[in-house]
Amino acid sequence: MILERGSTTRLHRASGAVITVVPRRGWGNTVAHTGDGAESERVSDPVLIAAGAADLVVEGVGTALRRAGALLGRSDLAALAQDGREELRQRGRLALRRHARATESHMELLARRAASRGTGPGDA
Amino acid sequence: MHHTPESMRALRLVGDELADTTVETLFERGEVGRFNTLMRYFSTAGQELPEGLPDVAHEYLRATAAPPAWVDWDEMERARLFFIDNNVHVSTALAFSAMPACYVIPHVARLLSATHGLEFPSRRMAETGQFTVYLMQPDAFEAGSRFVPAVQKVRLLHASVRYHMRREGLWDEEALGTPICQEDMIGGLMIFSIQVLDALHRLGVHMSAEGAASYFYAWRVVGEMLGISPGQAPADLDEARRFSDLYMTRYMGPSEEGARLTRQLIDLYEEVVPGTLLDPVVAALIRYLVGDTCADWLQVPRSAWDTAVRTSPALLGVLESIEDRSPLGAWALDRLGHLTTHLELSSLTRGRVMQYAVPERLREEYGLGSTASRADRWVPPPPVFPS
Repeated sequence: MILERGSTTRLHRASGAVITVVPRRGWGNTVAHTGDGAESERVSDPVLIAAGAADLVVEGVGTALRRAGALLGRSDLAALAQDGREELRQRGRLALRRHARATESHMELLARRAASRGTGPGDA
Repeated sequence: MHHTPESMRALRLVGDELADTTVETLFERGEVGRFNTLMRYFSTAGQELPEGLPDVAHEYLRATAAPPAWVDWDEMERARLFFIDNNVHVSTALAFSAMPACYVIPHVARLLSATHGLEFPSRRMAETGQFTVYLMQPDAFEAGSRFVPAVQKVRLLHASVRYHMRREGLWDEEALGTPICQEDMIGGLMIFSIQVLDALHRLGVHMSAEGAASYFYAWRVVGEMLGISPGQAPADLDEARRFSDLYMTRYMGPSEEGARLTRQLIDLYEEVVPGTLLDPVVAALIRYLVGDTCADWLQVPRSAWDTAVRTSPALLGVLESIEDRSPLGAWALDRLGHLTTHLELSSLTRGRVMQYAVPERLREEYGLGSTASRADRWVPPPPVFPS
């Protein structure tokens, strides 16, 4: 991904995208280490942050696209969808358990007691 | 009063002498029709009694015109404020928990199906709803109130049910004692008081200890006005827990009538809920409030909503927090609650004023066979089981 032509800084990432940044006047410069053995130059903070965010998005999109491509080639789409549904259901169950009250209703406790004592319509 | 299983058994033999005598005399003299007609014109406290009213009815209405002398009016005012704060929750608890709780007592279910008719439960719901709304008016016990005449009429209605059940041989007196006996009246009082508070707690409603106690107090006053012998009803929430648990565990169980009444009740509520998408919520809410065992006894259908409804306390908890923290939010939710309660009630009464007339015959009168279709938070005391 190219931010601006004629730049002085290039950042290479694993995704293969190339980010080119241009230092501007008036912005505080800092030393940026890309950590991948490429050029290490003075880059302004805001640019660096923007580059980082863009990189993150690009990586995310790239991964999603690769997954989608692989997905389309699979023959077990239905099973995969079923797995997804099951995962959502499990997540829902956990979320409900987190929010729902664990205690039984008072009537339920009484009813179990009545049932265990064998009371019923004829016992009145 | 601190009750034991033995003292409760003794209550099964006692009815309501004053109201029973009045009704028997009205029937003996063939004055029921005239009485009912004239009583339609008697609907507010302090109003002059209609001319031509049978003497025995005159005496009854005079004797029952005032609430018990022991009433603490500050406590009654606190009860009214509690109801205003929680009206929609109380209505929900009455509708989805108290009514099914009546049906889970087989002999009560049998009595109810003989009286209000299997096809027509809306009448009792409408009467109960209107009764509660009258009770919680600021002037409930003053001249001009509709509540006191409603109590006087309901008490006679109960007496007439006793009269008919006995005469028509619909009640096994040897096994069950008197129909609508003192124990069942106090049991009913428990269902509408402490068990409604249990349901509010389960719904996640925040209640103060003072509010809960005053709500119970108001029902205790009403219980005595409805014919519970003075001094027999539990005096506070702890005694109420004991009575309620002993009563419920002794009698609760499945019955054909209970299941049929519950089906009718669910159908009725589903009619009130707009559309059909949310219909299963009705059954799910009943199941959530009464628990699986009772719900299975009453054959409440299961659905996917059973799980979803369990989150209602969490949702309600959010609304309650808004109410606790913001006066404006509290006001808005109060108005919403007020509107909901009135919508619920008016959809049941369909604009009628419920007259609580004395039925001349059980089945016809009741449409049997008709095709019409906060800081100091209160938590319920733990179960009290007999050892």
